[in-house]
Amino acid sequence: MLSRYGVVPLAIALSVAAPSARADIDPNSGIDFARIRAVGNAPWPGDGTPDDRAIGRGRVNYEYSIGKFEVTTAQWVEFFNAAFDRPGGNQSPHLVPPDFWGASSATAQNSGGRRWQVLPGREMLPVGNIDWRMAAMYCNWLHNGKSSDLAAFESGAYDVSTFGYFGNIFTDQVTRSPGARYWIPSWDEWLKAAHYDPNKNGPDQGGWWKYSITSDTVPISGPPSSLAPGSLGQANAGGWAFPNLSPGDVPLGAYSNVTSPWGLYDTAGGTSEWTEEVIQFTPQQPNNRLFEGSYWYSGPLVVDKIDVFGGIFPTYSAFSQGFRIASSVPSPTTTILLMVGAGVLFRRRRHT
Amino acid sequence: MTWRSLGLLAGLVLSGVATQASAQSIAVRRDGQIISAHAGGSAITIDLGNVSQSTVVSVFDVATQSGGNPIVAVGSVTIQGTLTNPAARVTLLIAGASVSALPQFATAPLPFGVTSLEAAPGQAITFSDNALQQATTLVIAASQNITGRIDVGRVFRIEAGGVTDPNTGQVTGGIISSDITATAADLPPATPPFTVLGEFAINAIVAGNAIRGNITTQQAFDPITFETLAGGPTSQTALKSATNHPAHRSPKIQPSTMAAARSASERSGAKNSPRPPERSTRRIHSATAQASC
Repeated sequence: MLSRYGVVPLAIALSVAAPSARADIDPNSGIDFARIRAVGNAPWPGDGTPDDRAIGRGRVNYEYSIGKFEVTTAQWVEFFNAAFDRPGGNQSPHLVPPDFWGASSATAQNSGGRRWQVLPGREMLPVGNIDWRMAAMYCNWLHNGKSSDLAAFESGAYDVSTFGYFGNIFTDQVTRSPGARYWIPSWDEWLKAAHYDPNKNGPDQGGWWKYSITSDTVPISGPPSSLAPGSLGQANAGGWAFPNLSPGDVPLGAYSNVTSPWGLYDTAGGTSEWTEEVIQFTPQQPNNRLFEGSYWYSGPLVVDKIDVFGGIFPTYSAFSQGFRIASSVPSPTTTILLMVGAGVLFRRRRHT
Repeated sequence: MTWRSLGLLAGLVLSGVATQASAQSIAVRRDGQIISAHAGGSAITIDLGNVSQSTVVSVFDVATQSGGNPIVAVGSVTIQGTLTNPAARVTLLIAGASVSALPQFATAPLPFGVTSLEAAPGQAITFSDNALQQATTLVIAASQNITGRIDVGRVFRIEAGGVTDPNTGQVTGGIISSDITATAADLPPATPPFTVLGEFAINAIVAGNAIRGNITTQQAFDPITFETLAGGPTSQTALKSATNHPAHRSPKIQPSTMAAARSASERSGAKNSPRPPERSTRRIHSATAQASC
């Protein structure tokens, strides 16, 4: 058993040591979070690539949590059942059920409603066809405790009443509302969680990996070895082909040994992931929302390099589009350790 | 003739081309070298000769060479030549001069290369050789409109931008009225070790205002073929004759006949106001015979 004084060092060790995957499921959202620390990290310095817009980005001056996985079929089904299995067709017009996920239709519980189910084994399949606005509404719903009230979808993290276009320029709320508990990651948050390693150059000697799989070389396209024995694949992207196996059959996290420095799975492959960043590629074109990462079925894996990103209008909901949640919510592990640590310090102080 | 005079002559020829390009507005560049210049709005014929290796052909308003907006349109574009190597690919870029290759995301806007591609009611892009057509991947970035029929192997991105009035929000231009057909199949990925990447027959077609033509993939079986942001009505969109390409077979995780299941009525019901109808984003899949909207 740990001594009462041994708990604090353990807590510190777990919070500072090499980031790794832990069972950090937030009970409110059901999301397995990684806690991103290394507050005030150095930004991406560049590697000499011309026109690298990521230079100077990726520095985050606060702790935050981010999903270890992209949004899963099980999570999206729960969300869509809440949004669609409602009496009288009282549904948000911004939400459109995806084609590319692991769910199948089920019998609605309300007249005029729609419902889906997840068959066993498909819970962790990725979800495509998520446009930026749907992602924002999912954040609202989580922020509001998964309330069934329609208003729970409309505000909290992003005000849905701002969603629209002026000509071909979108008018959506740019960044999350103050106090939001769940949100779409900012580009800086995404870059840090995917590419920054607090121990890259030794203990507490942080640095940046060019690719989001804790590597400076491009990920290998291919199925995971767990489903295709002998495969060297590192990402569900790039248009690989394998007998009797589709990219749509590969669950999130299947590349179990391929993660970002903080333990995020499928930063390369699965779906491309929306961020909050607003990007204008050319002066002539309107703003777009930036997204990161290669995607299933197609797409070259060179896009997983830190200086490469995509962007398009926020109602773009192609099969390639998904996201992962960011949050201010500390992981349960962290919370417990901090509480224990605080308790021990309190007790030590009383004894001195 | 001395080497010196030969060099002088070559210099004069090159400078003549450059001067001509500046004066006549539309330049054609092949693999980094300007090969011809044309008056704005005129039809262009590009002779590639025997194409034995992959090549990149660019068409752009010379005003874009300095990063500016295009000021002239281009008429129909005819590609002549013969594909002598089945493995060779042709990349046809009607985009800003700075675009020299296919970008990494089809979803990223490109600098506009011309104001419009104006060929209606005729053919906008014509190939003298069917194999050459099949081997060609097309990019168009026009600031205004695109008209005239387009038949090409694959479409990476076609965009008609349009301009938003800052006071009223009204979009001028941004209309694709072309019938567009991708005649080639999805480019399959390689077998292990997967070093060659796949490519869909149609990646992205984007209009700032409206798409009014037929969009067709003939031999593809993409998970999704294109997506648009269209201000005005998007009409007569059809995807036909999907074949079950083994490399991009329908994913097993989705409901069967995905596009059919997502019927037009379902879509319209799901996407009615308050989402501005002119801004509805459409997901069209090629796994069905017809998905008209």
